Amino acid sequence: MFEATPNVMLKPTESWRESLLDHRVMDLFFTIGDREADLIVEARKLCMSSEACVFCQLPMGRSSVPLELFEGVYVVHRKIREDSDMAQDSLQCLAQLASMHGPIFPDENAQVTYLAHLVEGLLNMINGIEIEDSEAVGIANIISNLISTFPRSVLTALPSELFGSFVNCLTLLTCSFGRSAALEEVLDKDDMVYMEAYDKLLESWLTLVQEDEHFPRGCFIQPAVQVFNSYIQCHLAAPDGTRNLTANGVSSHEEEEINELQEDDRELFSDQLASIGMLGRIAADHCIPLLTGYRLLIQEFLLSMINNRRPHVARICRLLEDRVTRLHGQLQRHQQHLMSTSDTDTGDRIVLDELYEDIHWIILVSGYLLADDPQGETPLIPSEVMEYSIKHSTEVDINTTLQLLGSPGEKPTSIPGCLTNVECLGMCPAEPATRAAALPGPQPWRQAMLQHYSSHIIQLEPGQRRLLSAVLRTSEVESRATRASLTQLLSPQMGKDIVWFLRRWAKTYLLVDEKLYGQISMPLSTAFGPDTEGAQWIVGYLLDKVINNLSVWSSEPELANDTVELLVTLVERRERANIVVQCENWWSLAKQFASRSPPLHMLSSAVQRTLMKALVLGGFAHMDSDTKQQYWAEVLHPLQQRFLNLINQENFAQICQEEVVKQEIVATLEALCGIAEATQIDNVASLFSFLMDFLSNCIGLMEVYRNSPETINLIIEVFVEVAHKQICYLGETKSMKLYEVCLMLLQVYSKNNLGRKRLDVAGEEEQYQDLLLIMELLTNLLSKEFIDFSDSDEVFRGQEQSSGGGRAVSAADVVLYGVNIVLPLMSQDLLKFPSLCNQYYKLITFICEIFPEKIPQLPEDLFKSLMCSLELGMTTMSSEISQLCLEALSPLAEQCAKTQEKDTPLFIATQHFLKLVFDMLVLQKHNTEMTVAAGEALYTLVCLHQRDAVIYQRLAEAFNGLTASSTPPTLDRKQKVAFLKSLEEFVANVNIYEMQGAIVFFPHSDSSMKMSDSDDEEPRLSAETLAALQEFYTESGRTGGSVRGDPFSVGAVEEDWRMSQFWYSEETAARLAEEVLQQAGEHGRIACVSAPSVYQKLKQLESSRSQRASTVLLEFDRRFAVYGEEFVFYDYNNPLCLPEGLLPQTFDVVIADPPYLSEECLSKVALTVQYLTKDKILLCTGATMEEHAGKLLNLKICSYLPKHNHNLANEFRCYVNYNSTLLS
Amino acid sequence: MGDLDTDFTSGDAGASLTFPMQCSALRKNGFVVLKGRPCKIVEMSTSKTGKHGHAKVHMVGIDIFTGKKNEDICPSTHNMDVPNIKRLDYQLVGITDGYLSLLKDNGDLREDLKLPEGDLGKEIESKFDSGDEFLVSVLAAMGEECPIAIKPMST
Repeated sequence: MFEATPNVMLKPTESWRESLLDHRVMDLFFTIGDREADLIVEARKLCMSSEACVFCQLPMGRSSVPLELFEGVYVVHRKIREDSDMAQDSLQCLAQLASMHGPIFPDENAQVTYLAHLVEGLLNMINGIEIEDSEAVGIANIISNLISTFPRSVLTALPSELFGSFVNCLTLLTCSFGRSAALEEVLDKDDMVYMEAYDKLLESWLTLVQEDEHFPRGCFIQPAVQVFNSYIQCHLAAPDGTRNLTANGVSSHEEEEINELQEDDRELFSDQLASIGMLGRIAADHCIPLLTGYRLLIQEFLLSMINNRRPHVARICRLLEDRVTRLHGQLQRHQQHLMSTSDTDTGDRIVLDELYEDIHWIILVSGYLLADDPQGETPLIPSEVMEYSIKHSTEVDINTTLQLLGSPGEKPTSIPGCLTNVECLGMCPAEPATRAAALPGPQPWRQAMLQHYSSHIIQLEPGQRRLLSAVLRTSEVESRATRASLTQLLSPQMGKDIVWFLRRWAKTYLLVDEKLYGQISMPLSTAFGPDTEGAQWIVGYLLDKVINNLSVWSSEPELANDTVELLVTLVERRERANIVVQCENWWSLAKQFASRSPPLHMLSSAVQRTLMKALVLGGFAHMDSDTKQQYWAEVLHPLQQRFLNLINQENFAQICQEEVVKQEIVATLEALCGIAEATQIDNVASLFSFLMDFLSNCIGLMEVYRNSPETINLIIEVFVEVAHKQICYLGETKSMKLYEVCLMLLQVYSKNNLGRKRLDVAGEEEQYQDLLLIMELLTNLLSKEFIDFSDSDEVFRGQEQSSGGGRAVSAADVVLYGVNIVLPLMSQDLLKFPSLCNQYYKLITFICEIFPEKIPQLPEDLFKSLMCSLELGMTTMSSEISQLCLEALSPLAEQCAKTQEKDTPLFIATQHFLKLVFDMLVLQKHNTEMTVAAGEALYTLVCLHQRDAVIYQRLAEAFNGLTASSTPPTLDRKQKVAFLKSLEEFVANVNIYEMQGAIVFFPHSDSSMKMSDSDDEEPRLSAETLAALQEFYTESGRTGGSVRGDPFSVGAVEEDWRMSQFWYSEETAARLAEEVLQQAGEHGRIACVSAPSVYQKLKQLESSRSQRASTVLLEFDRRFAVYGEEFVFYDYNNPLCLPEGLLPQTFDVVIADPPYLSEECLSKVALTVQYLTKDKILLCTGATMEEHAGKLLNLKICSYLPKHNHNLANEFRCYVNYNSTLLS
Repeated sequence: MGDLDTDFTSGDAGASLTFPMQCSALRKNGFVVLKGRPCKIVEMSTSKTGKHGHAKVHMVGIDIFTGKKNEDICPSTHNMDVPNIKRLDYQLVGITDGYLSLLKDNGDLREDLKLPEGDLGKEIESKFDSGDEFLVSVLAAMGEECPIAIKPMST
């Protein structure tokens, strides 16, 4: 069954064309249109089946024309929109219709006509109503489906007027949703419907404008301007914006506690910001012709806001200026306040915070506007920005720029020519900065103001040479300013934003590589290109900023982290690193860190680690050999020296537990992790040798610190990092060395963990950190099989001769050794921890894929637990895990096929898995994403088992629509792909029918859906399919005996604790079954409500005795559907929603075991029980329910104590309303 | 970490009972003085008041001597006291009037430590009575000393 996602795309097959696109009128809506009540019923029917499978219920011959269909739905929607449930359904139905694609359209024209009707109807609907809160998401879904489904060519083929009003409507809708979303935030609503809708719309915009070359030139500028402006407005405080204003204009301000887990805005809203940034660029690019009169205003950030209208320019500048003046005033007041009371008053902070918040959003938007987040790719300057800059290159005077750069102390006005380009200083954002620099008063103010200025100024840089000098002055003043006294007034959040912005900017703009661009803007390349003073200067500035931040903000972990990330950005590219290492500051930073002197040692461990990484990366910049040697002597050697000195001390064994010693060890290990992180292909040779010396020493430490879990974890982490970062570059000899040390590590670990019991089952996840790390290490070691950049020791060539010893240790040995350690330690309880669970399944899937031949060689109990965990993962875990498990199956089955041996444990296990996978695909809920993985597994498994099973014949018949060929399936790729494709269709069809309440519907020989002849006949399994299925189940139940055993044995279906399933013990099940059998009498009828294990026992008893009774199982878990007609789906939430076949008061005895121990659950189950039973009731539930059982069903508690297979913490009892032997 | 260059082997004569450390530099499983008591940090989290507020650190520590839980919340710029902790192993040579006679590495005897109460005390007593030879680990911090564990003699 499909998980209910609203975005299942509608892709009807060709056979639908007639009904959906045909010329005849679907008069259904209109004939019933007069009668409101009928209409609603019909509409509901239509809408309920939002997968549009409803159409198969429509009487044949009354097909539809899309126009009428839409109008119908739109009309319906308008009529029923008061009822929010139904409105949801109808909107979802529309969203489905908007996603229609595939072979249903014979040609593009049909698609265009369809879309035109759709859009027209949509516009009519939106314009005709005032959108309710509950409708926002639905409408956004329609639009987003529409934009993502229909190809650009169809969109552009729409009548231009219609398209225009569609874009217009979309713009207005976006702005209005944006405002409502902001309001939702202010009111702190739980259910952010507008936010969701706004996100959807912005996403659609992104899709639209990313391919804007298809559209008439410039058609998105105006909309972009509007959306952009409204976004900015929503995020600025009054009077310029509307942030934190409630509907009636009252500003609300609340200080809430924000914990470290909360995401930063830039992550939280990254999608929104990316769309807005894109829109900003679009607008910037197209506005330029209109901007000729204002050639000075060429910074990209303002551009998009300013766009083409002069008043906006003034507004934005005023905006910035205002912020500064107000911040200045605030800081001044604070200063006085501080002097008089030396106590910070929180009242004034509000005003400051408002300013910070404005700046925060402006920085975020500019960051996203100027640069993309490249995520691994080489970052490029967005083409819009580049084009823009090129257009204005003629206006930039390089000489003035250089002069300005060279004279940081002077004001720009004192340099002739500098202002010649400045037409209007008042409109230029650099001006307030100038003013700020010249402000009288204590230095701290300036520093504070200038720090936030620097952020603005930097972002204006591309193309704005004048601003460079402003930054230079800023840094001058900043370096002179005293810091400490004002840090507490500054906002760490803003500091974070600034370094984040700088990092993003530096990645893309600093030292632009001209080869990457077809054309490059002169000002950009002269200001920040390679070998320019500008680049040198800005690197120096950024370095200063980093160093300053690290000392001032050491107490803000996140800010410090962003700061070191900026540092890494500076050195990770060789070109930039070359400049960095020429800076004096860099060297002093390195020395400072190596000597662990303040303030760097106050940084959190993660920050120190990244700092180490940056320092190592910097060491590979271009330097002459003396300098290089000197550098390493400053950075790496002290680390080694100290470490060796320490562990080689005679009395190390005694002092090792002392706090100082431990701290030193920990600091070293952290640094090692940082060094490993710095690995790149060209430095791996030297780093590997350096780290290897440490690794063997670390193994000794494992022994020493075996009682100190945090140190142990750190040691393993070093190994994990080294394996993670380096193994893919290592040649054979080197990898061997690494495998060897890893093996040693595992040996020590296993020795220390032997027989170690973790008593505290309810313990926290982090107690198992070591286990997690070990698994990570193994996974990393395996990853070499997938990613291997080493070219037969090329990186190490000339360093050593490959040793003649050959393969002493292989990855397989290490990993399997590790698995032997890990498997026994991983209990089912531990799998409940998500991180452990993920890592575990990743590891075993890897192993199955890479070393399937080793799996059968595992010791028997390990093999069993491996298989059990695979099954567990497949059936009860998240879809991600199930997918991993499914992927592990194919290689296992292939392995079986290769060895050609039957009756091996693996062979038997795969038989069992075949059944499971089949179950999963056909009978159970599963995520559609998994169909492919499951299909692949199924295919290989079927191939494997085809020879020995008669089942296969039957299956093949049932499936012949799937395989569609007479040749028996083989393991070749072509067939597999074909199979997968038809399987997907098959499963989709099956599931659609299932959603309608039928059980399973097998299509007949052709895979298109066959419609029932009359409306009221429920689709059913064809008799032969059912028989095949039944047989299949019994067969595989029998043959897979070692795993499952008798299909009617208790436990044939495994417990699923998520469904609160706990099976009775064998004796209890037998005792209860005897009891009900006796009470029912010969030919009596028994109902088992949520008591499958009693049902199973009854069936077993039945077969061994002459006594006959007819039994029905009412159960929520569809896995029990294997019992065929005796299974009745039952959900206690709908206690009387039972099939018609179950008549009231027809059961001689009813046994019930409510799934939950709550009065609510019991009272609902009681309704069912009373409905079914003639009289006798046997209830099994917790002892605590005695009172309710008496009250609800007049039951008496028995002295008999039922037992479960797994111990239950709650005491369990039986209750009866007749004279029973259980009573005494 | 600041005074790492000092000689690890010398005694603690003259060493201060605590040293300051910026709150943000503390780590979980490390030690800190909370409410005047030396504690092992078992939980640490940061938060801030409002988006533009400064980080605050919330710490939960377990008193290393009494096992009591102490909590504190303070600005991350704050300097916290970190206790200088020493752990020494002595051989137990006798128990008199509820006091332990402990043999130092250098052969000196100290008899100023009480037999601890509770299970550990009982275990020490019974083991000693049955003639076992074992070491007593003594934890010292902030002028307080207390036996916290026993371990077998390493041969």
